[in-house]
Amino acid sequence: MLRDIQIQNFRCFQDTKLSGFAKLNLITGKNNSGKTALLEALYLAISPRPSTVSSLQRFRHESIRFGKLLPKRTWDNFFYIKNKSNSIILQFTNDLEDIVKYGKLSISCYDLSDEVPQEVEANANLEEYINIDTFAETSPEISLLKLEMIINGNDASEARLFSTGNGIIKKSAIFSGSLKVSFIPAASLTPNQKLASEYEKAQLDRKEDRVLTGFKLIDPLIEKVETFNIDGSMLYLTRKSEERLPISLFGDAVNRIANLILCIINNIGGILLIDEIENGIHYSSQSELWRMLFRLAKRFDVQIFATTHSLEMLQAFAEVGTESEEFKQMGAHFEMARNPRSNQIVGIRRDLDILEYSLDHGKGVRGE
Amino acid sequence: MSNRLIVESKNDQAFVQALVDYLNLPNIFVSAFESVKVEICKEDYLLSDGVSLASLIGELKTIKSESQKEVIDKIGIILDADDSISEKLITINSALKKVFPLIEEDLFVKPNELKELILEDNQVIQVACHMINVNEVGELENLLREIKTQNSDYADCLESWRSCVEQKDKKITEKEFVKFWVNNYVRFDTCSKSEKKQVKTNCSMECFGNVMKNKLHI
Repeated sequence: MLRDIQIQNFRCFQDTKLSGFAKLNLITGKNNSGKTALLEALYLAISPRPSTVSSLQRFRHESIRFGKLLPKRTWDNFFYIKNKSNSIILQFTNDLEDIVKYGKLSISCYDLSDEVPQEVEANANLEEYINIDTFAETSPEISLLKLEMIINGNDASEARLFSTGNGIIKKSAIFSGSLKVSFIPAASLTPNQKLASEYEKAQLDRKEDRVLTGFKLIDPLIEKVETFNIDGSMLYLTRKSEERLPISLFGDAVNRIANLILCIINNIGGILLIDEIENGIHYSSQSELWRMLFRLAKRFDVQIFATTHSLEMLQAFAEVGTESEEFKQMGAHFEMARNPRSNQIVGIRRDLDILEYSLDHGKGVRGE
Repeated sequence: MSNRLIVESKNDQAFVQALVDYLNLPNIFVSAFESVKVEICKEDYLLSDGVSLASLIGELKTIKSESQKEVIDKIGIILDADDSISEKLITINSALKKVFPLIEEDLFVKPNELKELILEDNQVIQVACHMINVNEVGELENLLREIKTQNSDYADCLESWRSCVEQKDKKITEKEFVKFWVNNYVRFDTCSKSEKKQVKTNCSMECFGNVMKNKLHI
């Protein structure tokens, strides 16, 4: 389980340390306070792969075309105030089966315009080029983003992403096992085909009932879940006394719940990052959702980091989290704010009983 | 920059807040209490039976959390002494040590002293405690009764009721009586015809905050 993270020179973070992570962590704060950036830092630290970098660019809707036109600027947005002269440093403590791991990920950016690296030359015409646009103007600019992970003083992985006028070339080497991590962004829904394939994975291990239980939180009349492979795999749901319908005809909440549960039950011992967990979830279902998440996190040993703007979601978290001593130990709240003395972003940690006390007494716990 | 004042009950909060608002004139604003926030412990009010250690810890932890996002200069703790000042000092010292682990020894050996709290991030907050209601002197209701400005016939007639009760060998303590007196003063002597349409909101000690906010003249 991740215990803490120190984030330097990444996105809005100049130098911030958050300590005392629990099994379920709910993060609040004003807009642009660093909630999503924290999830991104965790995602990168846990999974320092080229695909993670690409995913983060996609979640932020960063233009691929922009990177091709201005390769030197492709990585700008990852760096604090776009200052690439300082490396991004993500340091964390992770204890796995009583073995403590200290991880340090360094992410550096280099301008290679004057010397085309071998990797770029050698792969110029290979499939490793991503998003090649043959009509794009070629540019001599090349910038390298290098991710070096050290675990307990030993090299654990290295990844390199070359941004060129023709697209991005990715190279990576994993030297030791990394944690399983899933990221559910705020705005996008998971493709139906992906959901269906994850559901079938759960079926293989006879865990699919958990998904139906989750759907019932949103719509108690749903009584059956199936997959059909007609022009692509798709989940079908059947409501009581009704015909089965594809999941795409149900609301966004059903998609998100399915994704959330499948990310937990198919990733035992992993980490789940959820941006704006309240999206699509009616307030009357939020307490039950948390109850389910507490149970699933324990059963499948998954650590959850979620952000929210919603006071109702936060109240439901505090209410459910203080229902039992076991849940109390499993949860923590973090409020992202700016320290007036250091001007750094801080993550103010609260145990669940203090969160409940603060909410009961009308204290601001969302960055106010 | 702000200062925090922790008081024991909701009614104490309403009164002290009104007092602070009243004193918060520009010429006084420059003083140390430039932006006092009064905090309450609802549970303590409901118990009306002295401060609970857990609630004081909860309040101090909340202030400690808030000190990371705003500059807090001073913390004041005002408690009812009830029967023993020293017991209340033990409560305060225990709560402070629990919340601020850098404190090694009891911070207060007596009230009304300003001490320094050093937090884990090297931030320094000054803290002081003050006891009210020492030997049954200084109860909020006693004070309210003393400073009342309006005719109090309804409340004063409770003296006859007290005599009647005592003649029947029943007991009512002075503390209970004064609370009852203030209740009646607010409920009957100072409740206007229009306010009587919403007695609980306008003329009750349950909503004493509204009385302190809207009817300071009484």
